[in-house]
Amino acid sequence: MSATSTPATTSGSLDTALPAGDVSAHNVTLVRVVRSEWIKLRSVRSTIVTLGLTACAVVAFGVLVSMLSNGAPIAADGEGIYDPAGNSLFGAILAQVVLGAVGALVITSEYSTGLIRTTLTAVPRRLPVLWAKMIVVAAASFATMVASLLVAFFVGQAVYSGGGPSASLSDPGVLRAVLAAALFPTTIAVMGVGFGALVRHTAAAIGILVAVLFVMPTLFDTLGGVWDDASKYLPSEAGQAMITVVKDSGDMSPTTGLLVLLGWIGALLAAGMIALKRRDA
Amino acid sequence: MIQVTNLTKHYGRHVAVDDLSFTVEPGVVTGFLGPNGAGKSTTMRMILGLDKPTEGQALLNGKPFAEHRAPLREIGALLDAKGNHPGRPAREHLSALAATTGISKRRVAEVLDIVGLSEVADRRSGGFSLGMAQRLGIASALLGDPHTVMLDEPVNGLDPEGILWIRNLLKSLAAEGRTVLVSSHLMSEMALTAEHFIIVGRGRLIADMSGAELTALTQPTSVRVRSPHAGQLRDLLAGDATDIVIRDHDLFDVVGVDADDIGARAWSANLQLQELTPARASLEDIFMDLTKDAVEYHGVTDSTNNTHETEYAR
Ligand SMILES: Nc1ncnc2c1ncn2[C@@H]1O[C@H](COP(=O)(O)OP(=O)(O)OP(=O)(O)O)[C@@H](O)[C@H]1O
Ligand SMILES: [Mg+2]
Repeated sequence: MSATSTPATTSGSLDTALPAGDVSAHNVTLVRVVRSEWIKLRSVRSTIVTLGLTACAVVAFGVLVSMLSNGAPIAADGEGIYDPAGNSLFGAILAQVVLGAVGALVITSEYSTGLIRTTLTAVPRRLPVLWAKMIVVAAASFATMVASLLVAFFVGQAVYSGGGPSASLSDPGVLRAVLAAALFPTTIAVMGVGFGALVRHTAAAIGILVAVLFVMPTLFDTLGGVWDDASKYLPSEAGQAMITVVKDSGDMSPTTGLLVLLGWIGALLAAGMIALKRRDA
Repeated sequence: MIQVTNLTKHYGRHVAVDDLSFTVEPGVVTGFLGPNGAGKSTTMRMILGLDKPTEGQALLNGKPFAEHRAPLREIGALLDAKGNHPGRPAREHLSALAATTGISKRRVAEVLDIVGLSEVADRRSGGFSLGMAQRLGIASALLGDPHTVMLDEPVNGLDPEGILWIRNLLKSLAAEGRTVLVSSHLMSEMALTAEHFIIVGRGRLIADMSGAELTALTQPTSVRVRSPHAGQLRDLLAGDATDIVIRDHDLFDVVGVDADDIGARAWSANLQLQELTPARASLEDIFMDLTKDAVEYHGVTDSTNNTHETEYAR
């Protein structure tokens, strides 16, 4: 076919671009690996489409919840279900699974296609690849979430302004809540990378993620007792604590919620590093 | 230069590579040959540090590969798996690789040109034919203008023109003083490209020598004889110095008598000849002979069945 016809028959021009002397100018650095991973992330259309659809869903869902809860009764003690800021940010809960799956795919798709071997030939020390993937996934997720949540928040408050009390970004804790709502799915996405590095298989990684996010909380609740106490250290509960603006008494503080999530990431990062470094690629 | 010393790899109880030692020198194309499952790909993965050796080590220019600070400048590799994401265009795939070590976009365009993929560079690589995917792999191997090029079965899926192209490419890379290691299970292909051969079977080293040294291993030239009087002719030729291998009811090979002599004797005995062909053992025959005990995965109808006892996978 014409596209592959008459390639150059020799490597004649090989030396021109890269003179032999400047090898040290080509040392692998973390910044370079991050750049490489960023090219990988943005150059697969399905990833970009997924992030775009996630943003749309976050806006739509936030607006929907705002509309449905508009005019709902406020609890007498001022606490409880009515949380105008939190409601408009509801889409973050929805986004967590999708972004977690995107995070997992960033690494598991490399194993399923064999690309990981090419990647690790370029970066044979290996660990920078995992760090770079986490950094790039975190940045893309956070940017997607902040942008879509801000839209959701403003549209959501516009819905409320007709009925009950609404929130503004300058209200105490609200800006924090928006950032927290963006941060929570971001941490799940990074955890997705970690699970992906551990199990190296897309379906398995997403399965584990779903189990940790949705099955374990219900299971722990059912088991009761100590398990029930432990359940607040699950990512979903910690994330909920981080997002909520109007707190129920007995809930974890947002900071503690964030620390719990960072603990999960730290543990997964450590396990992922060991798996990547020790196991054959 | 690639130095492999006592390299061994076990997968569970299966020994894929067994105490392998060899050196790949710069300046010539070295063919890495062996039947299916001989351990060629596994050895290459260990050279790249992708698989950890159970024992032994592989050094690239005196260091384990992972210790090189600019790895793509040291070695360019094509492995047997495709090694790219189907949804990512060829150019982006190469750009991502190039970015790890600060190689310019210009160089990416240049290697795309060298392998003849410029026109399809912005298409998703998932739609590529086997040959195009192979060319993309070769482009990634050339990207860093490396001292060493290591390709696992590069002719897989290439059309005849592509095969000719890669043959010339490999030779010119070696002529520029680079180390070039190319695996294949086809000696017929490697015989035209490589000057030095490393032959493995069942993970073990069988031969490590030049083409000339390999040819010198051959037994005396044999002569193929076809005749309706094959039986009588064999009786006539049989003797201490001759070795006859029956190929068919009217066909046999003789070692120890030359073609002139056979023709003369047949003439004087009034026996008709239908074919009289002197045969020099080709590199391929030598390869077959060297690896016959190491072939793990036989077809049941092996053409050498009547002369060798077929050995099945253990
Ligand atoms: N990851 C693995 N796990 C288990 N066994 C493996 C693994 N990789 C290779 N093997 C086994 O090791 C042996 C050597 O395989 P390898 O792929 O290195 O052979 P090869 O010489 O490249 O063969 P081919 O010519 O078919 O490509 C085979 O028996 C194979 O089944
Ligand atoms: Mg192989």
